[in-house]
Amino acid sequence: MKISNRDWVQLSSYLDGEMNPREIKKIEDRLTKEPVLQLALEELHRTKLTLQQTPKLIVPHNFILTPEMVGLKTRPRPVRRYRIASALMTFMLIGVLVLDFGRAFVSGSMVPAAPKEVMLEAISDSATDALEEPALMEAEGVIESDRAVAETEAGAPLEEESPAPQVADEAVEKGEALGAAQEAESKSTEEETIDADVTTNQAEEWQEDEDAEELAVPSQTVAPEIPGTPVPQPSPSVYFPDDEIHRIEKIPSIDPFRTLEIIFGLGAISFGIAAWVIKRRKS
Amino acid sequence: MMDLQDQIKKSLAGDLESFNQIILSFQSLVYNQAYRIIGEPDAAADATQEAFISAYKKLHTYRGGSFKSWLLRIVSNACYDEFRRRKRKPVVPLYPEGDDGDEMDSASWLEDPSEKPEDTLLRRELSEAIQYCLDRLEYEFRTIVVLVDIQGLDYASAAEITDRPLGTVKSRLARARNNLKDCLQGFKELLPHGFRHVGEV
Repeated sequence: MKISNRDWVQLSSYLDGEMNPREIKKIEDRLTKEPVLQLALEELHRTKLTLQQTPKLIVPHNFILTPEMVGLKTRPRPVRRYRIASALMTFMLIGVLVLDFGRAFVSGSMVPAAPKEVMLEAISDSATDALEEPALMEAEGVIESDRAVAETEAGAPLEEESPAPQVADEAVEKGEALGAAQEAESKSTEEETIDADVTTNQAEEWQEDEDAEELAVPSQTVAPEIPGTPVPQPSPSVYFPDDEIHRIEKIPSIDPFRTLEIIFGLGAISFGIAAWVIKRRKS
Repeated sequence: MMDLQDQIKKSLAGDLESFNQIILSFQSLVYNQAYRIIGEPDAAADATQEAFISAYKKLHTYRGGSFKSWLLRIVSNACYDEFRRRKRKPVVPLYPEGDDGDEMDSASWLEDPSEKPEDTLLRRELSEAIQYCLDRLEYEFRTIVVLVDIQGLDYASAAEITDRPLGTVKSRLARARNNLKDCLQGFKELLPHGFRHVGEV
């Protein structure tokens, strides 16, 4: 008796329990009646058992995926990034240094900008010099010409034993002011810097203000000299009030090239150290 | 240890390490499936790797249910692609051929160090015999019989994986088993004791 394809399908399904109850009953009835069908079922069962005992193969290697396999972009390692940043900072530093030296070479001067303290000291010195100047001028006879000028302005000749010492003192004060202005001007010419010019102009402004005050209230500025009493030296703060000094402090005195050099230098060092530390930790 | 669903969630979030944990859990199943369908170790390894890459990229298409079935479907597709590619460009076998010109598998990777040499030999020969018979089946028949009888899936899962109706799966499985029964008769001495004394049907 030949078994049809349909019978093989039913036997296979019966073997796997993939039949409904009605089909199961039907095939079981046939199995009890047809020994050939029973033998075929045994054959299929053994085949199935053999296939189920198929040895499991050991995988030749692990199949784990890498980011490259699935097209994921890998992040650059921090050490590499820090190294690149350090190198970039170094190149930038070199560039700024070259520009800085080039600028100094072109201008023909390597004089660095004066720091704030030095500038204030220069202003203070010029003020002191302005105070000391009349004595020098008197010694050199310059005061005589100033007196003549004062005479002309006052409309009366000045005698050596003049009974009007106030006028003479006033002239002396003016001479002092002129001396201070000349001194400041000469200093500014020597230094040839913008900051010094500003300082000189400032001194001139202050002197003009002072002259105006003297003309307005002559009785306050003219004081009788007591022989043997040392003349009190006005402090620089009289000439440079706080608000004026603060105005000077606002003047930008840090060269932008220096700032960039500091930033790039510190950056190159910091990134270099960071790369070294990370690499050391990993190793 | 994380369960499979957590690993899938993390993999979906882009965590490749979690997916690699899944791979380690399923690589034996996938490789065995690929090898039994394709019949060549290198091609099976290629198909397995491709299947896992494809699975990672298509993980968002997994809608729950049996992850094993979902993965085996991807493997079956990868095996089919590899099968067609090898059919177009046949490769020179690296393994010695038998007397009949058929390639004999070098099953050194089947060896288990703790196993007796004679048992290893028997196991190896049985594996080769089964593979020999599987290779003689048509591709779709082979895929279904491997899914049901070797991987232990039910008909519905096999139908889903092969994208075939349930009736087709039933009939192809029956025919495949019938053919395998006849083929394995030639390797009686290698088969388990229960299979050796078979009467003629």
